[in-house]
Amino acid sequence: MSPAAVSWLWLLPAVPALGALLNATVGRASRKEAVVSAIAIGAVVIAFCFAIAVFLSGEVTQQLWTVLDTGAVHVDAALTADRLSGLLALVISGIGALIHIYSTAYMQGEAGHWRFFAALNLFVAAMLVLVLADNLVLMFVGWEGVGFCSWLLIGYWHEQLDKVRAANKAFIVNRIGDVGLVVGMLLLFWATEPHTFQFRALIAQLSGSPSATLTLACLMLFVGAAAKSAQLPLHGWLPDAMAGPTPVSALIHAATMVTAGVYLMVRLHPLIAQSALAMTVIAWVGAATALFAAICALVQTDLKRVLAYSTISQLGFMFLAVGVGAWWPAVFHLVTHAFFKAALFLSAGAVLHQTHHEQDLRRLGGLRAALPVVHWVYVVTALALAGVPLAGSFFSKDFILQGAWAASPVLWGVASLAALGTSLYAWRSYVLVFSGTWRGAREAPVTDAPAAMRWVLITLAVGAVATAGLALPGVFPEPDTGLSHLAEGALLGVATLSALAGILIARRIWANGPLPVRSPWTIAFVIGGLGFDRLYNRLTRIAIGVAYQLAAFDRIVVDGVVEAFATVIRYLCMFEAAFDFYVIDGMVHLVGQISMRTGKSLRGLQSGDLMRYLYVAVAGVLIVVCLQYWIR
Amino acid sequence: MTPALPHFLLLGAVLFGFGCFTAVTRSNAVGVLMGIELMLNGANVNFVAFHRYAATPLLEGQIFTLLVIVIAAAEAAVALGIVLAVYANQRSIDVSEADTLRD
Repeated sequence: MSPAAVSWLWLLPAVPALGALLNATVGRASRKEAVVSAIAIGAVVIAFCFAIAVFLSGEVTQQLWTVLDTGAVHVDAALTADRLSGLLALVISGIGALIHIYSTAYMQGEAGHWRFFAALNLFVAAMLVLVLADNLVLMFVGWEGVGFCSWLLIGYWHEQLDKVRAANKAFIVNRIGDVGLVVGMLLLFWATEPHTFQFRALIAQLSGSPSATLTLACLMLFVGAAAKSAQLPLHGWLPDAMAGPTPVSALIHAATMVTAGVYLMVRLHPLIAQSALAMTVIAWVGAATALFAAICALVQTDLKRVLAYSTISQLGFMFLAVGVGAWWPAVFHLVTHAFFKAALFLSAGAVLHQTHHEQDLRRLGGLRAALPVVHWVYVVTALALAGVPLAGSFFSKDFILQGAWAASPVLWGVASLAALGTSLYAWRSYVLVFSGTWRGAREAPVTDAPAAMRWVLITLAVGAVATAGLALPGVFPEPDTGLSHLAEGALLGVATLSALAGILIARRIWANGPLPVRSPWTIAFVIGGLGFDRLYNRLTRIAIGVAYQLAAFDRIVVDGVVEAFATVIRYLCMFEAAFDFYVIDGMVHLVGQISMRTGKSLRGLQSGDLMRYLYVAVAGVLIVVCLQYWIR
Repeated sequence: MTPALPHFLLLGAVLFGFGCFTAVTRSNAVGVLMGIELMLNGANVNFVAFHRYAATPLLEGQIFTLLVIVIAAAEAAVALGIVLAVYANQRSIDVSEADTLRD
């Protein structure tokens, strides 16, 4: 069934883009925060209304214009919304709108207000292009667009070197992934006949024909997705990306952009399903990332870094779901994660905002009384993160675990350990921030977050719980894991028990504040992300060292050989020049000199004196006559 | 004493000798030319004498003499033209000074 053609789909990304443009011109010139905020929020809310319309109208498509039409390459700028795109557009514009509202309070008084909101609007526009694109090329435009906005916003405080470094790190790591993505795109293009980039045509052509090329293409696309979604081993940029303002972390680095990789995998799932190797790789990378990041999150001392590692871990769950063929659970978890993780980040942001940017867990504590609304939102969403059966994430995570069990019990074991770690670090962060007593050096906050923040937090917490409704039969296609009801029930029970156990253990361990550091080296190692950054730094240094060695080799050996040849040839030339000068020219000069000398010596005879000529002539005649007589 | 062949030959030789001496010793161009004329005429006397005293008289002697006279006239015309041109150039007809063609 091909989707119905409509003429209004372009408005969905165009409105936030227009908002960004207006903010960069009118908003910037007005110098009023109210104007800037109104433009930004208005644009995203209008986009949200369009997203609702898109979601309700089923599969629609709009052909905008043809970008490229040269022989075999045909690229259209076309948008298509199906159920997946519609749902994601809803999440992006909905959570985006809430975060815009929150930001008006959070970013109050910051320099460059218009810059923040223009970039945020542009991000929403690019993300909508990414999910609505009809072909890989247009999706890549959105993909790069969100990466660019991410770079802009991580480095929002561009006067601080570490923030700029973090922004550049995110951008550069994503470039590595982009190489894979582009190679994957071109492999798919190459494998089709007639060549195409369009998702529907790709899927129609390549489904049911597994090949080595397809496997390679899927793995390459996964490299791109892994960089975008911070999977092992390309995860290092996400914890550093917390350098950006917290609403940015919530929107870009938790709810939307980092899930673009999952979206790409789900979008092309009929192709990935052709390749058992790609599926296995994706599942294992996802599971390993989930466990690794959960362990790292357990020891982080920075509240935002806990949440960053948590995001990496949850994205790992989504990739695990993709790898075991549980496509809809992956999307389901994406949606529930968007809600509870945005709420967690925004709660963290509210804590930061009220404590004057105190984000060290060792100095926070006892904020329950001062920030009641934030506290309750954090409780609900931390429980959702832990996987307690009250929020949508419980069901989505359970679907993923079922899929993992059906694929391989080992995968399930790894994922369950990661889930246990999740509930541990979720509750650890709660306990350290909200229970006990204030440990900070500065004064403890006394007032709750501003109203705009509070209402956004409450809405998101309610949303996190309400996403449980998506688990109702009929909303998503039923995951067909082939498990018996008994097995499903058992898995459900194990998941619930491990979540609750994690919470109880965390409550006991961290009841008296942060643990004393017994093994500083180990803790530092885990806080630093198990040494990945050190490894990459070392690798980079080795690469630079090798580059210097190669440069020296080039300078000394290659240039030396060239110069040696040049010198030999130079001396040969000098010899040849001398030969030419002395021998060849010498012979020519010799002939010339001989002629000249002869001429000079003979010219004396030609005196021009007629009388003498006559004497000589007469004398000659006389001699001849005399000779005649003598010889006779 | 009737003149015989040796007398004429002697006359020719004397004329030639005088002409040669004149041509060699004069530095005046006209004098040189006159010497040359004398030498030619000395030769002419020889031609005519051999014509007259030959066993079988030959016409060639007279024809050669006429030819020499014609050529001498032409030569005198050309040579005097050259002498005039040299004089116009150098205000002098001294042959020892007319040496600019040397170079």
